[in-house]
Amino acid sequence: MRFTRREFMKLVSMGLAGLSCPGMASKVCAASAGPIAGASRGKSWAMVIDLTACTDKDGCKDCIEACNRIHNIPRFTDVKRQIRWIWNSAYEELFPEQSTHVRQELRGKQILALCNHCENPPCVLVCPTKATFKRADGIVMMDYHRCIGCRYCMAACPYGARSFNWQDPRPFIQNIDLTYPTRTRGVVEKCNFCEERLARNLIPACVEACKEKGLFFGDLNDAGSNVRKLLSKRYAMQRKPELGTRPKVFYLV
Amino acid sequence: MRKNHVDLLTRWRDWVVRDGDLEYVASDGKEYTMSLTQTCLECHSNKDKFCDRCHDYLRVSPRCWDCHNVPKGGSQ
Repeated sequence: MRFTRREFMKLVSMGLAGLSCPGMASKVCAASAGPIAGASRGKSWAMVIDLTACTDKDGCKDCIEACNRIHNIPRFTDVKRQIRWIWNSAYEELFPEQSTHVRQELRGKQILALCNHCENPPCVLVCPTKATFKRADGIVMMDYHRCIGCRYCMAACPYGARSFNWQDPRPFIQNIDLTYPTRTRGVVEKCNFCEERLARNLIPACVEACKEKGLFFGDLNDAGSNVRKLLSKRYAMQRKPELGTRPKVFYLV
Repeated sequence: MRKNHVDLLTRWRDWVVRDGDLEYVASDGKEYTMSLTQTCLECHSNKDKFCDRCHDYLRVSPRCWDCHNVPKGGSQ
């Protein structure tokens, strides 16, 4: 029996596909399923930011300050060394694909940004030590004990939500909250949706600190939750939806 | 405890950070919140005596305190 070149290539590619698929499938599954968080199984935490309430009051940083305070975030003057869990950025920087003609009224406004706790997080896929992982309740979390500081996750995150500790952060923390750890030189850090507060049945500190009622937090799997009600009623945007990361931070416009 | 606290703390760490479990039931049925700073050092509040004395003698330097804060009264 004689093969044409075309037939040979077909067979080879089928063989390769068969060999590589099981491996790929298990990798994707491992990343999306994540370990089991006993207490919070079945939940899917999400945040809704109401831009009409938030951007009205320019210069308000209550949420950012609350987060910085309780999580011992250091303050570096050098922008390249900055550590940020939640921050303000211009609308056109956060929503680059929409900036030209859509929502013109938001151009130039400072808009809140934080880790999106993606349904399909690229940072989790690339982490070589599984220091970044996705909990069953959807929180993309970091195990700082395991982080080796390779910064793959920073390269993978399309939202710039991760910061690296280039130096010991402790001297740069204004008032250390002794009940929460600091980080150390050589690890990456980011927003954790206040998992330490959720464990005590408290809402995230930024949501609690917002006096303008612009931040909401709840369970996407609960049809009666405040976030589900808001999302069913009003038009919401997500950052860079075209990437397929499925962010769980929604912006109401 | 002297010999095996490393194992205990490592397991507590993994259960809390990775599995989200906070409560530990000891072999005698007693329940503990799994936390180095808020459970162990709550009673053994003198880190110098409780941790450092032995670690210094054995010349080991665990890196717990690079990130975890010593509760009030102890030195970093």
